[in-house]
Order: sequence, then C-alpha cells, then structure tokens
Amino acid sequence: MGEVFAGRYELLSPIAEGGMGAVWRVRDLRAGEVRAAKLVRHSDAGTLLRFVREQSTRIHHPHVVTPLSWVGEDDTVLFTMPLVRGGSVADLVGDWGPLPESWVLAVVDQVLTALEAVHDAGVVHRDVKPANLLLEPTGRGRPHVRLTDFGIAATLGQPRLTTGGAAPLGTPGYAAPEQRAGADPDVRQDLWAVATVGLEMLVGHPPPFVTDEAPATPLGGLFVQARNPDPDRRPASAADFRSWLAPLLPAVWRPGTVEVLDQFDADVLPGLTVEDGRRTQVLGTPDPGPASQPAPPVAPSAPATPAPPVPLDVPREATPSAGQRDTARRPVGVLVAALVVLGVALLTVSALLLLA
Amino acid sequence: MTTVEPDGLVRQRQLYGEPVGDLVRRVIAALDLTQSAVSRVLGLSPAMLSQLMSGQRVKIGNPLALARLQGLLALAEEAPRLDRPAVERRLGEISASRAQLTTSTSSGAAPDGGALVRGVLRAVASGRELERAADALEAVSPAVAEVLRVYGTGSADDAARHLASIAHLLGR
Repeated sequence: MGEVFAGRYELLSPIAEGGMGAVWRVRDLRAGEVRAAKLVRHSDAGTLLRFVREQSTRIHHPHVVTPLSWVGEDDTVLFTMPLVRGGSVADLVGDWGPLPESWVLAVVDQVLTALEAVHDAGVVHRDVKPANLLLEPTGRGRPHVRLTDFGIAATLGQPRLTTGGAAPLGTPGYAAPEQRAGADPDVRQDLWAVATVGLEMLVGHPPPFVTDEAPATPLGGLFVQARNPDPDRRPASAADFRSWLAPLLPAVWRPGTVEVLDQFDADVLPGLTVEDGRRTQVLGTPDPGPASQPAPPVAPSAPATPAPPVPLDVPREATPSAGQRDTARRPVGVLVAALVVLGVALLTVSALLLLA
Repeated sequence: MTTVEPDGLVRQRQLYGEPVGDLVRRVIAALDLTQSAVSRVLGLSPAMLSQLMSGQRVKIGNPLALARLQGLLALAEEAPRLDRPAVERRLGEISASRAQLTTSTSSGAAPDGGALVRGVLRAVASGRELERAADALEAVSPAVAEVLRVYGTGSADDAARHLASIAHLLGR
C-alpha cells in the first residue's frame, strides 16, 4: 500500500503539479473510491477551504469542479475532488496540435458558461488556463469541460483571501496584463485568459503568440479582440463573450480526427506522471517581500516513480489554525524514530570526524 | 519464423520508417529517460504516447510532437559524445521548440538569433549529418555551407561571431 494521508487517503500516483500544490490520484479507504486530491500547504489553503466551507461560494455547475471535502495533516491540507479522466485541454493541444474550430468553440463556450456561474457567485477564478480545464473522456463525442483549481480565486469587492497579499498571482502567459500589474480582481481578467486559451487551441501551442499568428478567421479575430489590453474593449461579461461566439457555433458536431483519451486507462497508469510545466505563481513584483515568494512545490517535481508529495515521515508540529478538523496526529513513535535516526546520524558524523 | 506485424505498426513503418515504439525505446535507452519523461518532452499525454507505441494509434497528430521526436532521435545519436548537463540542456531545448519558425517582433539586436538557428539545425539533423550536408553544399554555396558548420557544429561563440559579422546584412 502506498503512503496514506491522514489515515484515510492512499496516494496512488501524481497527476499534475501546479496551482500552489500537487494533484494526486488517491483511494479513499473509507468510501472505497478513487478520487483526485490536491495537496496544499496550510498557508496556501485559505481560498480552497472557503470554497468547501461556505455555502455562498460553493458552485454547483456541470462545468465546474470544486473540492468535495478536506482533511489536514501536519502542515498540509488535502482536498478531494471527483477524478476527471480525460486529461486537460493542455493534453488535448499537446496530443493534436491546432484543433478544429468545432472543438475550440465547444470548449470555450462551456468554459464561459462555467465562468457565468463563478462570476455570479462573486468570484474571479484568476487562473483559467488549459491545464485547469479538465475533460471527461468523451472520445470523439462533443467534449465536456470542467473548470477546476480555484486555488488563487478571489472574491469580488472583498479583501484578498490569498497569502500573496498584494502580490499579483496567476500563470505567465494567461494572466491579463492588468492582473500581472496587480489590479484588483475583475471578471474581465478571466475573459482575457479564456481568449488566450482559445487562441492556443487554434494555433496549437501555448503563448506567447507572435503578431499575425492568430488565424485570420472570424473566430481568431474575436479572440484577439477579447485579449485587448484595455479591459473596456473586451466582452463585458462571460455572457457577453458567449453572445459574440453564438453566431459561429456549428449546429452539427464534427469531431474531425480529434478525440479525448482516457488518461487513467490501466495501460497508461504505470508510466503516469503528468506535469504542468506552467505553474501558477506569484508574478514578478518590484520588491517582493518574503511573504510574496512563490510557494515551493509541495511535491518533488517530475518523480520517475510516484513519491509521497510531502515528507510525511518527518514529524512536524501542526500549524495552529482555526477551523481545522479531522486532523490526524502523528503517533509519538514516529517522533522517537526520527530522533533515533538523528542520533545515529550525529554519531556517524562524529565517528568520521574522529577518524579524519 | 515470421510473425505478422500488427497493421498499426506496418503503417507506422511506412510513415516514420520504424514503429513509434521502436523509435521511442531507442530514445529511452540512449538518453536514460523514462517513458513519462519522453511524453513530457514530446508534449504528448501519457495515454497518447502509450497508444502510439503499441500501434493502437498510427499517426502522431501534433506536428510539433513529431518534430520533437526527430530532435530526440538526433540527440540519441549524439548522446555518447555529450555529458549529462549537455543532454539535459538539449532536452530542454527540444521540449520548448516549436517547429514553425516564428519571427521575434522585438526590434534591435536579437542576442538569441544564433541560438535559434543552432536549435533549428540540431533539431533536424545530427552533427555528423550537418557536416556531410556542409560538404555537399560547399561547391554550390560556400556561404551556406559555412552557416551549417558554424551554427550546426560550432560553439555558441562561433555562432555569435558569425551573426555579428553579417549583422549589417540583416537590416536591423
């Protein structure tokens, strides 16, 4: 059996890295089900905790995935989510390169319906990017997208929830210019990001895009317009953006050669370690204080074999925090074992010094 | 004894010269990588690479991934002459490479111009191939042959010197 977190979740294999933490495939030993789980440092968990705890920010929508529950252990919080098996839009672009307009329209329109619900709840996602757009394994059928990873989401008109304080957060290439400059959360920042995703799907690679690279088609033109540096010249809302796209939506689904593969097929799992090369980070600030440094990844990057995402075998004093529940305490035996190891190490070093 | 090769592998042989599985296993052995590391460098999902390697799926759908596989095969050929940091650096270049040549919109001297040309040449051919190509071109165009030698097999400094020597011709 693999590493078990908080006595309940067996870590099976890493799925992705990013957004202030690592995502793992886990088995819920109590419910007997396999789920996705995001492991986040306690200090970065505020926004997600709020999503789980507060009814007002719980978003139930067919195109949104938010955490189901959470459990804390030591300095780490594990959020469980439904496992979405088709990979992400980043995988889709990687596998197929430039995608047919039918796919781009279907994906972007669904993401915008998700954002309508998110924005209606008074939340700005702030990290819309292909790796955060998960796909159901629909094969050649019409895709089904789920927007995920609300780790740096912000509530409109309220103090920032994330630990970054005033530091701008996001992913380079997908964060709108004013978001990179540290502007207050605004729904049109998410729309800039959606347009960037749309362009990436059309051209077949991540940003940056060079001048004239966008296809000279009505759809390409719309995305370029929605990426205007001036937020006032973008669509005003997700619904507005959808109305721009509506005339282009095809009546009949034509998949072309593209299909969404099941990434958790038994054949794939042994070699499975997907990595999101573009991690969400604290974007550059003129004078970053210690508090605004990017959080180090919780898991070692690119493990050849699945490794536990946190040094669970090292005892650590649990970070005191309000509202922590279900927190498993490390048995004293582990602490003793660690002290013994430390003692042996010290003795070895002393012995070596004496010999030298 | 003859075994019948599955249809997908036959078609891959026609398309790529060899089945994708054989090509990828050669890269894995020469560069000491895992299959998931190869999938990351190629930019293909693990499921896609797995289906391509088994012949269950015939064609590499993303042209960028195909170009990167060519880059990996060239690197595999050169690997015995390279140290590990050099291999890692080239893996990073291949992973970040984009087949279509895009022109930087920034004006002024482009310090990475030489590196770009080097990257392109080395992504498509091995050092030995570039030398042979330069020899073959010598009679037709000595200047082009020099470009292949300087950027293809020379050092970064060689490339920078060459670029500086022709800067006045680049209209910057």
